[in-house]
Amino acid sequence: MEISALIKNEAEKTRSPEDTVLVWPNLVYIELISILVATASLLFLSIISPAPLEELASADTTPNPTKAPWYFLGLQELLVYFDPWLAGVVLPTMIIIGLIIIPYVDPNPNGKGYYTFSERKFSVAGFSFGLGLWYILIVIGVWTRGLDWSWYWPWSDWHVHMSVTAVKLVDLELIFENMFGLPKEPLVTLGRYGITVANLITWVFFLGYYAVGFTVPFLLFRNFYNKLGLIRYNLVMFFFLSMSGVMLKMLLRLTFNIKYLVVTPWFKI
Amino acid sequence: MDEIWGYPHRLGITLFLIFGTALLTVGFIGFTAWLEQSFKKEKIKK
Amino acid sequence: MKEMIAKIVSLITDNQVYRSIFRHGYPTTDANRALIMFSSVILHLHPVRVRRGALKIRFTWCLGGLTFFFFVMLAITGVFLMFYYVPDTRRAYNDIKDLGTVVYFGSLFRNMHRWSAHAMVLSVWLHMTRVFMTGSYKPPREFNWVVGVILLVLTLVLSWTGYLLPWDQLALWAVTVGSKMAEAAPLLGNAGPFGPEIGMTPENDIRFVLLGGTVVGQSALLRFYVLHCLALPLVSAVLMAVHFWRIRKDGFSGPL
Repeated sequence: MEISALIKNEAEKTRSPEDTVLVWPNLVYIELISILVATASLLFLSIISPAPLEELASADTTPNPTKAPWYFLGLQELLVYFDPWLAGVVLPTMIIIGLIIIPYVDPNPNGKGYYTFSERKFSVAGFSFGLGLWYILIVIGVWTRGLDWSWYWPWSDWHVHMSVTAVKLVDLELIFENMFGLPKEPLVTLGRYGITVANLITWVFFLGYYAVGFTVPFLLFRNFYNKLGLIRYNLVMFFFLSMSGVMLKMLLRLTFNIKYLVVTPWFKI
Repeated sequence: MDEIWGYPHRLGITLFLIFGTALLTVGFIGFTAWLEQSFKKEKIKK
Repeated sequence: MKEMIAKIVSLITDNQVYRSIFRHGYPTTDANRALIMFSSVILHLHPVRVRRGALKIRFTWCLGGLTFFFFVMLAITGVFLMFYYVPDTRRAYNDIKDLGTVVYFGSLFRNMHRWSAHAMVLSVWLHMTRVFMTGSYKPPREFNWVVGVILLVLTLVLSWTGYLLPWDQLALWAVTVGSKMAEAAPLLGNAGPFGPEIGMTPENDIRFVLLGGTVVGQSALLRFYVLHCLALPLVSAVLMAVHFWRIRKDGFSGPL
């Protein structure tokens, strides 16, 4: 097609009742200004704050504390509360998968192309909670973790090692054992895995959290379930419960000294 | 439960975590709601 | 004065050389402004017209564009840095030191590279937040969101692989922490659940694949260098092309 005919075509396509303007110069000059501002900011930052360079890498001396880059510090902070396979592999994978499925589990037609909280409360609130949790973990990792990964307030002396308070962490299994006076001998043994009654109760507790979490909205917020349908509902609730579960487990550890919720010889949650 | 009061650090950390997350969550929601209002007001003015 | 400027401008523009490069002249008429969107390779990313509401800075905060800008800035400063850096554990650190002292503008380029990197990570998170809050991932734009999430992960991995290259204490141990997490992967890592049962040892698990060895050493440095400078930027560029194409095809979701 000839160029001028192409242009006419394109111009007519967009000449609709909407109020349109030519990209040149209206959009292009906004881009130019933002590029100039961004470049100026980068230059300014480069001059006032040079890139760090510590001593030569040495496998013999481990710096204390060893911190990942700031965008991974959220995950590194999770290492305090979860084992590496959870904090470093499973949870990040769940975060990525959870993000990817968002468009496919969101049936709400409102809010497409404009900001709204009132028309999509659960989506915005849930996403904001996830963001809030992610950023607060980064803030904690950057500004409150010092030597030996101990907690340092900004006013503490960051050069002094914190005395390791002898906090006795206890597994949930043990708590149940002592609370109900349960026997320590395993009921059933699968290879290395000796399943005691207390261990079974911890499984019930853990899976029960999800079970209750799946059924309660189903019973109380039935139209929420109907809007989503079976598959979407289960996906949404699974990821939402896991995300809340991360925060709950952190709080359980901080307030009740609980280290592991479920213990098996192969993995501990 | 006594321990949480006996170790000021632990109470501080717990409160920091809860309130920090709550603050950021409310912050993001509030930002969205503010923008919603600001665009609506502009539409009404037009 | 005005005539002199006009004379100079016409001297530059009214000749064959100029017109062979810039075929349609500076866009001063509406016809030209439309034409230039088709004929300029850089500008053809844009449509000819755009809805007035889409121009509102309060809508996008220019975050997507800024992310792309930071990426380009990183590529440019990165190429400069590549002239002076060799991924050999025996000289990498000294190369970085040279950049800061002996190379003209070396520290400026290194600092720009580092700040662009942090800025890109931050702006890509904020861009994702904005896209979510404006619901711009809803049908028919679902797949573009998926491409965006993959780009987010690529940005983080690009930043992390670049972190190792200065070969200082910060680099070595930040990457060691990260690779220890890889070791703990279920089934794939030798220290993860069910890993040893399948036969994973430090010599054949996923951490070994990542580092090209059992420690963060020369192999890891070379691998991360190739990933950081070549493989990941190529993949990111391709995915960005898909991402931008999708926006043009599905139309900007902005307000009227």
